[in-house]
Amino acid sequence: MYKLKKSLYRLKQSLRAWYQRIDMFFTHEGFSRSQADHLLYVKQAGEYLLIVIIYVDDVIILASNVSILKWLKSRLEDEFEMSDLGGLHYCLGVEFERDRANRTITMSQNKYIEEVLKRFNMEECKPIGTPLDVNSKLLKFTEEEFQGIQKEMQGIPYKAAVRSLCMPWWAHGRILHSR
Amino acid sequence: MEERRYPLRERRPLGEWWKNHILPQQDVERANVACLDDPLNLCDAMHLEDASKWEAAMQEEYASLMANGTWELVPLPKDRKSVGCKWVFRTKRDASGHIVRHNARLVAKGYSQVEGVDFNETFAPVAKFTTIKCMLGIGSAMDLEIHQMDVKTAFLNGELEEDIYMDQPQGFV
Repeated sequence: MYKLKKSLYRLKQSLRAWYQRIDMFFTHEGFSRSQADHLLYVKQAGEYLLIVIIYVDDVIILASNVSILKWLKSRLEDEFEMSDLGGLHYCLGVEFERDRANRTITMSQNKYIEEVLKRFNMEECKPIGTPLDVNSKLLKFTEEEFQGIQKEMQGIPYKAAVRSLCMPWWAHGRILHSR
Repeated sequence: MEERRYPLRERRPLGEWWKNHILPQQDVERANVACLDDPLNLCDAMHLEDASKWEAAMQEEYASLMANGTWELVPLPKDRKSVGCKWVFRTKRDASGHIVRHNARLVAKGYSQVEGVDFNETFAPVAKFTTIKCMLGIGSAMDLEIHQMDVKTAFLNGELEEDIYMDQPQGFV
């Protein structure tokens, strides 16, 4: 039998234990934690600005220059086992496309949505304005009919389908700023 | 001849749309996991053509857990229950869908933990999406460098406040 000394994936407290650890790290490095979102850290001194956003084990870093970015990366690598994914391209199921000349970032979830459709065998489906049959009559089932339908429905992964739709909404719209 | 006011093609009642999309029985369970091709359990993983890669991934995970000092071997106290654990297998892909690496994780069956005995407080360290959007907007406007990093073993980095006992993992007893 193992007695756990460090947290492990899917333990109830492992996310909290991880947060406490990374929170301590950023606090020690002189970052201030946002009151509006506790996963947002900002450090500003003189010329430079660092913004860090944490999403479980994904870290997004915004830095005012390359050398300060390198400094933070090496500090993180000293402290944790990290992989450097470079510029922000694909994160949390969202693709990011940056146009620095025009100062825009475009987010899209095409890839994620296509994956979901494929997973549920719906690649061939067609978009429809009203996703409801307007001519159907609503009837009350007898107990027997109900059980039959329930049995039929058991094989259909509704829950998983609905859950996979919880993500796509957030990338709607476009982050845009013009000079 | 009477004029038709709707197309000639056969119409299927919308209420039965899902009948076109019923997955074969063997895929139903798999639709609930992140990726169709990933093995569901240890037995599965060891019978796939990538078995050696999965095994290497498990060895790597186990070594990393040991190096991290994740646990010590003790007898289970009489008044306590142990938490189960299992292996989870994932192929990591890049944005264009190419396999980057095989990843095996040892996870605790946290759903069997009892509040007040096995844990006291929980917290989900997820930034709000509006925060991310907002900050990216600022970053874009100020022309900041925007990079991302990934913590490989995030959850193994926290110290536990509670005493938790766990079964030894399959394949490594």
